[in-house]
Amino acid sequence: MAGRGQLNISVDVDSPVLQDSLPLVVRDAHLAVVHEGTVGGTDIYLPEGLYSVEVTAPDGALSSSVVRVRTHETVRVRVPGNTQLPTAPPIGVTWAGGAFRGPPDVGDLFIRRSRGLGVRGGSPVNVTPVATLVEARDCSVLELSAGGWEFLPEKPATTVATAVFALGRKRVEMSLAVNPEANRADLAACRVDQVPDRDGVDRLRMSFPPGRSLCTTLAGLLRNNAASSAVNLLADATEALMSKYDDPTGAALGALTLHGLGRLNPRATWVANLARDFPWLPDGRILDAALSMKSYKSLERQAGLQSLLSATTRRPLYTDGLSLAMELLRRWPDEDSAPARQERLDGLADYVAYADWDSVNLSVDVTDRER
Amino acid sequence: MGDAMLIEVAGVDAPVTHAFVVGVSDYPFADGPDATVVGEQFGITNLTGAAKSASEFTAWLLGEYHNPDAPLATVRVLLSPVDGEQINGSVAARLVQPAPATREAVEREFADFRDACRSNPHNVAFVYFAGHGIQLNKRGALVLLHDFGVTGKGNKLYGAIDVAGCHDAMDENGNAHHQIWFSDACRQLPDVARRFESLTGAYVADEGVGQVDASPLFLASSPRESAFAEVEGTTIFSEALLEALRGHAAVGPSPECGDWHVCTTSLMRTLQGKVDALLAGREEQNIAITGNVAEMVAHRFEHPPDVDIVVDLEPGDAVPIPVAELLFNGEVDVPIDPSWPVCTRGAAGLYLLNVKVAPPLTKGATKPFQAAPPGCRERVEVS
Repeated sequence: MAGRGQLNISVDVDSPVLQDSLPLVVRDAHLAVVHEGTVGGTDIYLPEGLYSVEVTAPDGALSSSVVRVRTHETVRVRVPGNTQLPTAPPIGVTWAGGAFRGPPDVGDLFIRRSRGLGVRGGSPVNVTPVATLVEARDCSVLELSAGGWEFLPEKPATTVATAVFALGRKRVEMSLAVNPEANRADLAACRVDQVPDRDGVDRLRMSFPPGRSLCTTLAGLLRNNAASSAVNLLADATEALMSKYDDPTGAALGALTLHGLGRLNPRATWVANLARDFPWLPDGRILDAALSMKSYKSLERQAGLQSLLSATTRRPLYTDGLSLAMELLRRWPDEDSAPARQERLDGLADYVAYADWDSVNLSVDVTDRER
Repeated sequence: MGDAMLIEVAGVDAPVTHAFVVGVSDYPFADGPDATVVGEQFGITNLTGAAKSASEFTAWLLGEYHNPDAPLATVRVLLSPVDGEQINGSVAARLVQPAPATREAVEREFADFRDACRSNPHNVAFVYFAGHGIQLNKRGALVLLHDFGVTGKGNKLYGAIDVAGCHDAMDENGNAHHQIWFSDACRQLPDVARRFESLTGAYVADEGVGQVDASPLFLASSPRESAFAEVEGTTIFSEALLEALRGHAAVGPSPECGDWHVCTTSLMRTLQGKVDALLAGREEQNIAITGNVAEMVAHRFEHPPDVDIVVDLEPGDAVPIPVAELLFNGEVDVPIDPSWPVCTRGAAGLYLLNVKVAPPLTKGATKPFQAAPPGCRERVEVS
């Protein structure tokens, strides 16, 4: 094609879902959009010039680069599958600063670093409390390092797994997104790590192992505020977690995100399956209730209400599941159920007041309760 | 009575943009000599910048908002400033009389606003609330109104509005197809919030049927009053929002909009960073987005924006001084001063910087980069 060159974009990731679904936007030198699609598409033919390439990376972060397209030449842009910055930019590619940052994480527990100073070998050093695990419920635990644990589910699951951590004087109870349906540890586990942060705050973060790459992407999309521009990716990943990978906790995360964006209605069948097949997971039943509340059939609305009242006697897995439950309990269009809804609201109020709303998995400060 | 808070723009035809703006700093039944027992028990104190922030947002709508497909037609403004709070002068001049944001006024004006938005499905709607807030999770928010704490109304949340509930009500067939909502609230401390969380009774409009094309709801919550309002008396979020709307969140033409514009996605990507920058690590303020989060154009620009471009040299004292050439799109020469750092102002877009060196330096640089609003700072290395 005269006067044109080619742009080829690929991603280093094994998951077929991610290979085909990562969103891609190409802009010309005036920053006008000239191509929107996914990374797995065919080569893009463009007039000679500079182009910005924006890709949602496998960790859910947005990354951008500027490339120069020349006539009759092919520019190849390879998106790293991990979360590390490339040591050197690929030829013709400059990765924008901040595109890849830190390990993928799900939940953050904000804990101020100790400002005290200690003395080691004659030099003052910062003293940071090391997190300890106080208790783990409905799961087994392997301590990987100081301030790092891997959790595996108990089978069969009867409730959401939780763990209580101590960091300094704080006590925090976290719901854990382990997957009891998996038969391999790398598909079943979740991790929690104490990680230092650049703003002087130590955090406990929940993350997914490499085998749960779609969950990592979902969590990353949330963390990077990129979910709304990757709805198709969200939907594909959630469907795969439901149908192919038997990962109900991962699917619930995707479904909650889609619901939060107003995009879950066409996928009501998934949600019904999630609620029916995994009754130990309140988030699925809360989602099912949310869709039922909008039904024009009174029987479906009534069933949804019962599902909501039943689900809200238990601790949700995700912070967003708690948010949605509170909204539904407040606003359910049925006066007769007001006393029952009020009772559930009272029961959830402790979570709500002390929840860390930045954490994807429900993380509640229980310092006072533990004492 | 309703005209007191209605600002109308003459000479616009449907479809149009309607706006509903509420700012509450003054809580007479919770703080001060008229406080009631009910109001005092929640420990709510007057704010300093919510009404001013709402007035500044109104001023932006009246003076800067640009959307040829749906020009601004009306703004309903309900403000409850505290004594001494400076409301935007141009807005104050256009209000017939003070219009405090009481439950009754909010209920009445919101119903009129909803009717106005329903008059044409291609209308656009803006909604902005600022004040004390509770239940500020990632899905919803209650904002306390001027008469929060008033007695004799049957429930403790009479003087509050369920923002997410009203948002959901407006997300209905036939309503303005594009709506954008902002809740800018000062969150209560946990021991105070604990008393609110299980209460019901805040104002919520009747649920509609169906869905509009886009209706994102941005929820900003500040954990402390000190972080809520400190930029010249306006809230941190309102400051960030206005910067974003004035160009910091501008993106180039797309299939949906042929002009430079601010859209749902660009606001999402910009607002948290702007808030973080304004707070400079002193506090945390989190912004969540929910609702019907589809892409919509919130504001259009008549001309592509100019941006500040700065490129630093590493090492900065390299001799002989390297010579830089700045090319728009890799081909159009942009005049620049020969000194370092390179500082210029030009059209937003993609540039190529070529840096040539002379012995003893041997390695120059070629750097493609993006200059997006409000500007960029790049670095090139020679050796």
